[in-house]
Amino acid sequence: MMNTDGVQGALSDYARGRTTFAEFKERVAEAVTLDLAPEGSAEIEYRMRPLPRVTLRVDDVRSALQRFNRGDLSSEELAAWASVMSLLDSFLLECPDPGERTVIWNILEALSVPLVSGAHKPRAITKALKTLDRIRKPSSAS
Amino acid sequence: MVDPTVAFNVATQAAIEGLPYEQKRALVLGMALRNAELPVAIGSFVTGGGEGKLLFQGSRAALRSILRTSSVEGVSGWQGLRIMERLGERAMNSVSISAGEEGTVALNMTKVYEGGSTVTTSTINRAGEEVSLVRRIYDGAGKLIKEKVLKE
Repeated sequence: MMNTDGVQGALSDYARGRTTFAEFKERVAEAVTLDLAPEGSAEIEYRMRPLPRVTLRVDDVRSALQRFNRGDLSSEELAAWASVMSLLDSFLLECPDPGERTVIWNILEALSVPLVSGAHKPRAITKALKTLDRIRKPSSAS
Repeated sequence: MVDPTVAFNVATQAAIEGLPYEQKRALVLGMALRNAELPVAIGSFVTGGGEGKLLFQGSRAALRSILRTSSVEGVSGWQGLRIMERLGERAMNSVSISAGEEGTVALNMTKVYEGGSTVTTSTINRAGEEVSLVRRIYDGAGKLIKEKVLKE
C-alpha cells in the first residue's frame, strides 16, 4: 500500500526547497519515476494516480531564484526543480489571477529548459524576480 | 480542483459523443464562426482510424474552446477533462492530440523559445488518468538535443 502522506510530504518539501532533487526522487519513487536529463528532456511514469495535490506559492518560486542567484542552487538543480513543478500535475499555484498564473507557469517552464530558453542568464533571472515582485499575494488580492 | 463550469461542459461533451463525426465537426465549425474570439483556423481534423491517428491539431485556445463546446472524435469525456486540466493556464504555441494504444490519447504540447523548442507529450488513459509524460528538447534547427551538459 502506497503512503500518500509520505508522497505529499515529499512533494511539499521539494516545492519549498527543503530537499535536493536526488532526495525528492528517492522519496517519491514508489509513486512516480522521474528521469531528467541535463539538457532538459524528461520522462515521467506514474505508479500512483492521481498524485496528491500540493500548493506552490509565488514565494517558493522567488526563493528558488534567489538561492540560484546566491549560488546555493546549481543550474541543474534549478532546472530539475522547475521541471518537477511544471511537469508533474500535482502543484496548484497559489495565485488568484489567471493571467498572473500564466506568467508564473511561463517563468517555471523557461527555467526548466535553460538550454533553449536562456532563462538562467543573470538578466533573465533579474527580470523574472522583478515580474514576481509585481504579482499580488493571495492575502492582498481583492 | 476542477472548475465546475469546465466539468459541466466536458460532461456535456461526453453526452454528445454518440453524434456522428460530421455533425460534431459542423457543430464545432458553427461555434467557431459565431464566436469572433476563436481563430478562423480552429484546427485540422483528420479522418481515418487506428493508432497514431491525428485527432486534433491547432492552438491551445482552439482546443479548449472545442472541448468546452463540443468533442473531439476519439477523445472520451474523462480524457477531455484531463486535457483541460493539463493545459490549464499554460501558454503553448501549438497542441495536437493523437490516438494511442488501448484507447489512450497523446496530448502533444509545443513551446517555442529563442534557442529551440520543447515538445511535451502527456499520455492519458480512457479514465482520464495521466499515465506518463515525456518532454523532448529541440534546437533552433529542429534537431533533437541529447545529453548536452549545462554550462551556466
